[in-house]
Amino acid sequence: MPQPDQGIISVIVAGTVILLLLAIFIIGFLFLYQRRHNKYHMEQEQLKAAFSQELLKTQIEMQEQTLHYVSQEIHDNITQVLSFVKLNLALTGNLNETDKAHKIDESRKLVAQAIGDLRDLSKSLSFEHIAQLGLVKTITIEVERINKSSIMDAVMDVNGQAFSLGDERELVIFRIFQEALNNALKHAGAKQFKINLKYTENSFQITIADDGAGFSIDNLTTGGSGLRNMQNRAALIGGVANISSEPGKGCAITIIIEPIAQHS
Amino acid sequence: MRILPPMLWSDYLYFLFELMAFIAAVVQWPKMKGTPYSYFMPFLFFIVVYEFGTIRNWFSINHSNLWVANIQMAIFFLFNALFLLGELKTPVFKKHLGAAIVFTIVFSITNMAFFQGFWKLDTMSILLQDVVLIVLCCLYFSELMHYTLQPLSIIRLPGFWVNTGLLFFCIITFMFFASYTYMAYKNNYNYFLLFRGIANSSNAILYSCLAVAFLCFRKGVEPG
Repeated sequence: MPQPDQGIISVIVAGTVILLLLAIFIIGFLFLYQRRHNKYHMEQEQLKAAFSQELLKTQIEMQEQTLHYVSQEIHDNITQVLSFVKLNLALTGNLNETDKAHKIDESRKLVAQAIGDLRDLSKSLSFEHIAQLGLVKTITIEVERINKSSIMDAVMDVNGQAFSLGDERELVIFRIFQEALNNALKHAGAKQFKINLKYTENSFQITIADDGAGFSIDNLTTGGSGLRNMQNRAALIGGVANISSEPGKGCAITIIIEPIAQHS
Repeated sequence: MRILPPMLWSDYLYFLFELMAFIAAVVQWPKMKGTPYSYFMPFLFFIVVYEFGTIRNWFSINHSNLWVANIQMAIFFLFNALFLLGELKTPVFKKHLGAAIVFTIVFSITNMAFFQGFWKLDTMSILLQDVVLIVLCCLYFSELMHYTLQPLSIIRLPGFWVNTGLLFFCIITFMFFASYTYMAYKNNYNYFLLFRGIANSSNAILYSCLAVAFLCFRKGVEPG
């Protein structure tokens, strides 16, 4: 066999092998890509499931908190007011006309106050009111409630043009706010409570600060599951929660969500 | 010059793979009805008849059956190219590849009529057909990577198997046909062996893949 022909056959074989390797590479790459894509998709699904679960947990916690508040409000406020009205009305039988009219007028005012309180309560009975009223309005109602109770002095200010962050995210943020408020009331013994909401074109920031007892940040790693929960929840809605505190210097929780467009 | 050895039964192994793919197409035909895959049954019947006829020398005129090979190759290309074109989703790919298919067919006819001729193997046409089919397969794989939003098992996609089979078939035969005009008429023994190896392996891969593609329909619904 002449040498050039043998060389051509070798070239054909080598060329075919190279092309075959190329085809195997293409198919192999496709398999690898698809496997990674499937894995990524599975992780996304798991993340979604975790988010839904967390959201449900948040809703249940909010419901519990609201019911607790409602029960407290009925016991401490409305029942007291109505008992006072009952007492007033019972006393009217022995009074003269002027005093009777005065007592009835006083009772009417007390009933009006009870009605007002009940109306406020009915507003906070459902967590759907966040979706209806929006985050700013819901927090405003809470601030008014705190100030009315005179337990603490709450101040709220909003910077920028407020916009909706989406029902689920607003619900989670409100729950974090409730948790912070609970901490300030129950554990920190705070007298001042400040809420700052900052809306910019692409980001949202909420800062919740109190002047309570504070704590050492190192304790966050050992205890403070509530604070860690806040951080986890903020991460779930694509945000970052920064907690700063020192013993005797209060606590400040800042949640930053950016960019908004990516998660809305 | 060496005398080429007679063909053995093992040289016709590829025919068994073609027969196997045809049987798979017949068995799965009720489930493939209404999908483009149902056209594979008449196409494979044609292939089986052609190969059987070639083995039995039905088409030999002046000791050559290359004229029928030219026709079979053109039909093979047209069927597979149109099938793959139907599998593509991107309009711009469809437009350009549609034009490439028309051009290839026109080129094949012109080549057959005026250049390489009707009685000799039109290798230039075959190479062009191979290139178009390879491009179609690669575009299908590219779409599979970019357009799949849901997780899927690609080995259950009949389209994946058809494209894989065709890609390997075209790639294996490409270099052989590229050298055919120069080597075929030299009665080279090694080239003859190469032909046997390439014919058997390329057909075995293609028709096995086609059989697997048809079996993907066994649950009654076109997967993917």
